[in-house]
Amino acid sequence: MIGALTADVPRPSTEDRSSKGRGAPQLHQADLELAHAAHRSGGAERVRLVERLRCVPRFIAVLNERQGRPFDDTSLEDLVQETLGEIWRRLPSYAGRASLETWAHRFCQLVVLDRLRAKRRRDPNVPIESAPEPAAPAATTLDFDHVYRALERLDPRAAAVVRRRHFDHWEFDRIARELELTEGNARSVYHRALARLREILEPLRKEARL
Amino acid sequence: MTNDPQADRGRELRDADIVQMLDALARVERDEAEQAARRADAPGMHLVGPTIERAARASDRRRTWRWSMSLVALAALVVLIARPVLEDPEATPIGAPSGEYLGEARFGIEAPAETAALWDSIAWQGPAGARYTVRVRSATGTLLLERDVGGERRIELEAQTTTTWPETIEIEVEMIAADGARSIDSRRSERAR
Repeated sequence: MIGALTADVPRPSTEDRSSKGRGAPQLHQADLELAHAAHRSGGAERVRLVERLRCVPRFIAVLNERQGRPFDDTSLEDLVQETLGEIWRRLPSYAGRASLETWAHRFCQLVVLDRLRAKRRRDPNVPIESAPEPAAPAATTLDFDHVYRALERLDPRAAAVVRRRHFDHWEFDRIARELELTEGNARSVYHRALARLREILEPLRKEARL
Repeated sequence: MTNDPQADRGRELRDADIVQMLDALARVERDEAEQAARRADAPGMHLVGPTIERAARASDRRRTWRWSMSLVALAALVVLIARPVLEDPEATPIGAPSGEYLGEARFGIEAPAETAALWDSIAWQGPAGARYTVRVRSATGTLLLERDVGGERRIELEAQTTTTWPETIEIEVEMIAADGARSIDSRRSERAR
């Protein structure tokens, strides 16, 4: 399962390498230090990391509910262990661009979706919904998972601007201060990011309409 | 780029569908996080610590194994690099093991005995492949016989010759082994009265 999943899981390590030297934002420095310290050695850091990763079973339980409870408690426990194992394996590549919880949430989504697809292959009656609420018109033709993937393909700085603007509802002046940009530059990065997202998503959208 | 709100508004309208999708995605993520915060009873909560510890132990084992293998590879590399430097080009080559325990014959004179009624032959043991030279001298050192016998390990002596020899003789057999090494065995023999 994990083997099949790894192709789907975000690849922050690759992004990290490409972003170094370009002044890529690291917005969650404390999380980054905690993650790397906990991976290198045990002790207090690992205890703190375990505490932070208690969000994993919670996320998985919520995702299961949103999907109409396709998994029983035993399967959920398997999913929790699988996800934690994958998170641990990828921890050295965590770049601190999102909080640990947000980063872990993405792993939970991918593991649940992956397992759900496998279940569906065995039983086509199992529903698969990666967009739990048809809240946006675009989402009716496009999987939310595609949007996540498109965000992961953005330049780290552009992804950070988009995330701060939409996920944290920050104004451009605050984004600019945090990323050490002028406000005009922050706006420019944002609009270029939207154009790039459109470029990435357009072929997928056409595919989805077919 | 610009601080013009009109221009921004224009771009946002053009990208309205993308903007809506991002907002929807953010809303779903936020809702899930809020719901998750209320799920203290989620299945697998008790597995978080043990799973992380198990994964950490496994990765420690892999790291130790990789480290050990690196050390072995480094040691092999050092030996490979240092060997030509440490080797003495003048050193005497060490030959293959040899000796009677490996099936090679011991070298030594067997006949005649130290007291012999008749000197009719001289016989010795020695490895095949060696070359032998036999010399017989008087007690004062006069050479009475010298014969290169090749690979033979026995020579016959004629009575008409040996009868002229003194009462005591020194027999010497020189062996030149296949690798060029030389050995000599000797024996004094008296004519029995």
